[in-house]
Amino acid sequence: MARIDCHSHIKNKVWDVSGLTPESLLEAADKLGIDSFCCSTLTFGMPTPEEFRMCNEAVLKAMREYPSKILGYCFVNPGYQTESLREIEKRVVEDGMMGVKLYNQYRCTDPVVFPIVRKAIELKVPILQHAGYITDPAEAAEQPNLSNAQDIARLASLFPEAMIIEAHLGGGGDWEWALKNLRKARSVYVDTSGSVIDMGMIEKAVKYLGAERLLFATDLSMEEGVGKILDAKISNDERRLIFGDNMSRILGMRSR
Amino acid sequence: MIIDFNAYVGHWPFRRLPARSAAEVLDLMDEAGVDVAAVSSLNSALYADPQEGNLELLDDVKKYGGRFVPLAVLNPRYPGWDDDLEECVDSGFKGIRLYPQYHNYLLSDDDCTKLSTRATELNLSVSIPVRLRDGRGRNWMDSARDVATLEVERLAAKLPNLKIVLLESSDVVDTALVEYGNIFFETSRMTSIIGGGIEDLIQLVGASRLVFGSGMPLKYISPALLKIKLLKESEDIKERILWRNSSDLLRLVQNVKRQ
Repeated sequence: MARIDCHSHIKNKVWDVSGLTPESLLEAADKLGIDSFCCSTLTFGMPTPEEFRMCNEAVLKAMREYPSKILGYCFVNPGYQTESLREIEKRVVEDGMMGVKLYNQYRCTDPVVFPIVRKAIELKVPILQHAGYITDPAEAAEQPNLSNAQDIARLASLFPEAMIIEAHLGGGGDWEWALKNLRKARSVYVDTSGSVIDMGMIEKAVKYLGAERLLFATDLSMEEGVGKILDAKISNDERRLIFGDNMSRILGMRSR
Repeated sequence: MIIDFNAYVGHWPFRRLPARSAAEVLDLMDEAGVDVAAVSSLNSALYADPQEGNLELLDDVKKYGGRFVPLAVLNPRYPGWDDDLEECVDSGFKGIRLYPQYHNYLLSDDDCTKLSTRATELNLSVSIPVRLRDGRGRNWMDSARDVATLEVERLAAKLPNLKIVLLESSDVVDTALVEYGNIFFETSRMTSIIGGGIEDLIQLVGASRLVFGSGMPLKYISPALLKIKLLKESEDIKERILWRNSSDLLRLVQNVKRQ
C-alpha cells in the first residue's frame, strides 16, 4: 500500500523547523513506511518574488538530491501576479514540480488568486491551499486572510476543473464545519494532516466526502499523520485510496 | 504490557465520541493492545458536582476488574470535596484527576493546595490534562484555557512530595518543569521522530518520569503508541514508559490479563 504524504515541508534560510532536514524526513519515511513527500517551503507575511523563488530553490535542491522521494510544490504570492505565473510555469514545466502551494497571503476567493488557479488548471497540477476555520478569536486574528472550507467550496464552484486540496483537516480548527461545507464541493480534495487527532475524524471525513477525496498527509505531525489513518475504522480499500492511490492519480494527470 | 495513563469514559458535550461507555473504551483498548487504562469521568468536567461523574464512572468500570483504574475528579472549590475524596478512596479509586480549566481555579490557589496536600497524605498521584481539546476549533461555549506551566511549577514547588502527572504536555524540555522531580510527563503530544522531543526529555530527566498515555477516546490511540515504539531507546526504557512508571504511580499489583 503506497503512502504519499501530500503535505510536507522542508525548511529554508528564514523558516527553521527543529530537527527538520531532508534526511530526517527520509528517516521518518523508513520508520513510518512513507514512500514520498510532496513538499513546499514558505516565508510568512507578504513574500516578494525574490523570497518565494528562494523558497522554491530550496525545494528544488531537495528534489534533486532525493528524486522520487521528495516532490515539490511551487510556492507563490498571488499578489505578484506576473512573477507568480512565470514562476509556476518554470517550476512545473522545466523543473518538474508537481503542484502549487498557496498560503495565507490572500483569501482564495480574492480575484487576485484566479490567474493562479487558471495556470494550475492549464498545467493539470493541484493547488494545496492552506486553510482552516479557527473558532478561537485570538488565534483567528493571527491569520486575517486565512481561507476556510466555505471559501474553497466557492472557489471550486468558480473553477470546477481545478484540483484544489484543502490543507490539514487536523490542523485548521473546526474540522466538522469544514466537512459539512465541502460535502457538495465534489471536486475538492482534503488532506488529513495536522496535529489534531480527534477520534472519529477520518471516519466522518470518509462518510461526508468519500475516501476518493481524502489524501494522507502529515504536515510534519508524523506519528499523528500515519496513526490516525491506521486507527480509522474504514475498509482497507478506503485506507489504500487515502494513503496513496488518490494522490498517485492526481500526480499522474500533470501535463508532460 | 501497556498502561494508558490518559484515558476517559463519558460524554464530551461538544462532539459525539466514537466510544463513551467503559465497554466501548475497553473495545478500543483491546484493539490497540492496551492492558490497563487509568480513566476519569469526562462528564465531571461540566457537572457542577463532579462526584456524580465519579460515581457513574465507578458503576460503569467495576465489572471489568483491573482493566480500568478509576481516578477521582474533584473540584477543590466545590463543597464536600474532602468527603468525596474519602468516599472515592474507600471505593477503590487509585488517584486524582483535576480539570482546573473547567472548574475555574488555578493550581496555585489555596483550595487546590489543600486538596493536593490531602492527596500527598494519601499517597495518591494527581494527574492534570493541560487541555482536553485543541483550542483552534473550540466551541464558543468552551473557553477553557490550557493549564499554564507556571501553575504546575508553583504546585510542584509548594508540595515536593506530591506526584503530579502532567497529561497532554508538550514542549516541556525548555521549561522549569523538568527541574522538579515530582512532575511526571505523559507523552502523547510529544514527538519521537522529527524533533525528537521524547528522546530529549529522556536525556534531560531520565526515563522514570515519562508515562505513556493516549487521550482516548478523545484522540486516536495509534499515534501515541507509535511515538514509543519508534523511540531509539532500549526495550527496558520503553517498558518503563509504557507501563512500569504508571504502575508505580498508581500502586498497582500487576496481574492483569486481557480478556
